[in-house]
Amino acid sequence: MDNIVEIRNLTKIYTGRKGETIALNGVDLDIARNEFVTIVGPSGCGKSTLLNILSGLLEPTSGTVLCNGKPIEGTSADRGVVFQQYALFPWLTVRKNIEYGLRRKKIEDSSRKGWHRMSEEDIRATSAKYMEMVQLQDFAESYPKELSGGMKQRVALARAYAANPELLLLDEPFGALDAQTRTQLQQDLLEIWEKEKKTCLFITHDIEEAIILGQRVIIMSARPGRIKEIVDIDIPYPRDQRTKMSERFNEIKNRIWSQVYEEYLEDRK
Amino acid sequence: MIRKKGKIETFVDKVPHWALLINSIVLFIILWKLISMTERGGFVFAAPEVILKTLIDSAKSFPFWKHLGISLFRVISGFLLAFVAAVPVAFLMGWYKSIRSVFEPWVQFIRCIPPIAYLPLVIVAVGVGESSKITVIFIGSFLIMLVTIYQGVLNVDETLIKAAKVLGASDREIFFTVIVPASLPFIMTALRLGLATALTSLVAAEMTGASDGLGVMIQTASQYFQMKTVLMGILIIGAVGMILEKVVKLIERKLTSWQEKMEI
Repeated sequence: MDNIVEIRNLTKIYTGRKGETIALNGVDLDIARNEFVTIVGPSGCGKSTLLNILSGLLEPTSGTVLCNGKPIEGTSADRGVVFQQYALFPWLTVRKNIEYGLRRKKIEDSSRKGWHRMSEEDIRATSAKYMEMVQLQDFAESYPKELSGGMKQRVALARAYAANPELLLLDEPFGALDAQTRTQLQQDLLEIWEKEKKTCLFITHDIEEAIILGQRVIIMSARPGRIKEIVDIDIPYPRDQRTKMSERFNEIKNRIWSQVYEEYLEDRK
Repeated sequence: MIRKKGKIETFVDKVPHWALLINSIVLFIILWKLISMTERGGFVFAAPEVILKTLIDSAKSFPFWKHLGISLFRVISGFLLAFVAAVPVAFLMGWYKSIRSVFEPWVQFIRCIPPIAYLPLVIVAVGVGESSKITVIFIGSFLIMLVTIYQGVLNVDETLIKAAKVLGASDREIFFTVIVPASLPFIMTALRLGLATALTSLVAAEMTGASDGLGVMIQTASQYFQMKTVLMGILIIGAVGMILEKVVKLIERKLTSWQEKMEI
């Protein structure tokens, strides 16, 4: 199988004033190319730590983390991140936000020697394409402050997608949104992913969200963060909100729920 | 913020801004006039019409314009030099922890000393010419702008820096495309504080043996007990401050309109 991510015996220990905290302890995980993987787990189970290590924003304490067979060294445009707090640049318009990554991109062109920047037309065309994909073409020249939370997160999604990363890391991207907007965005993300497949690692604390989006759900346990179980979601795509009413969905949901609940009880001891 | 408003508050809310402004000015002039009519108050505050007459008479004379002109020159050149110096130092202090550790205690130390206290040192160091006046204005203005801007650089939202990093920005690009624009609102605040400080240190600056300037005009008038000239000088300094503040505000509105502002 063609794995884009290979994690072996990953451990992350934070050293603070109150001593050491083990955030991740011996995590092994493979993610296949174009796979959609979701991670659920109680807060403090190290799921954000795992994502930050994959993005290159954090360094592991020990273990190996390979992306395309190479160890991760610092951040790279090949690994995009969608943050929970949107993280849009407030001084840039929607279009300019989406173009931010494109303007920093160095591409190789066989007709010209070495690396160079994208042309202005290519940048414009790409941003237009992704604005249309998230249905924000009418807001191209708006500033983030003029948008609702759901629209802001759609811009963030388009910005990450436009940079064309090989791996897309999503850190509870819909966590701050109301239930209705969240459902809408799940739908949007499903459609985008089916149109343009990318490897996605999606963190959430919402079990339904994890099942509706992912091909596999990884359940993590807290303190120290380990992978408790990996559940294959054998519900075919295209999925939509009606999928949530199916028997199979609820079977899986109950199974994951009992696992997560076990973790919760464990944590309270 | 939502809170229930009283009847009077709802009424006041409906009055347009300019009407409130005119009300405020008229009330102020009436109060001023009333004070000037009392025995002790009249001793200190000349009546509004007297001040107006003094202003009109002075405006016809050359020395008045010379005082105003030279003071404006000192304030603006001291302030501009301070701004040009404060911006790079503030960014260096905000960006590099080591530079901050070395400079910060000194900045805080000097900031607490009133300009009048170090006036003799400035005079001995640069003489009694124009440079001493500009130096005094520069020091106060520079320090306040430095502190304001570097606090802004320190306060840049870390998620934005992370977002730029994962979109492939280099350190240099992060500096120019994230740190600089994110600090812009603080730079605008620094401009306003720096201008105000430049004006408030003007009178002290002109105590370094100047022969002209608004500060000198006020000092000389007070020696002859011409309170109307003193009051006129004070009002002019205040008015200049307000006009300059308005100019900065205009620039601010143009440059930082993207900012989310609290609506009241």
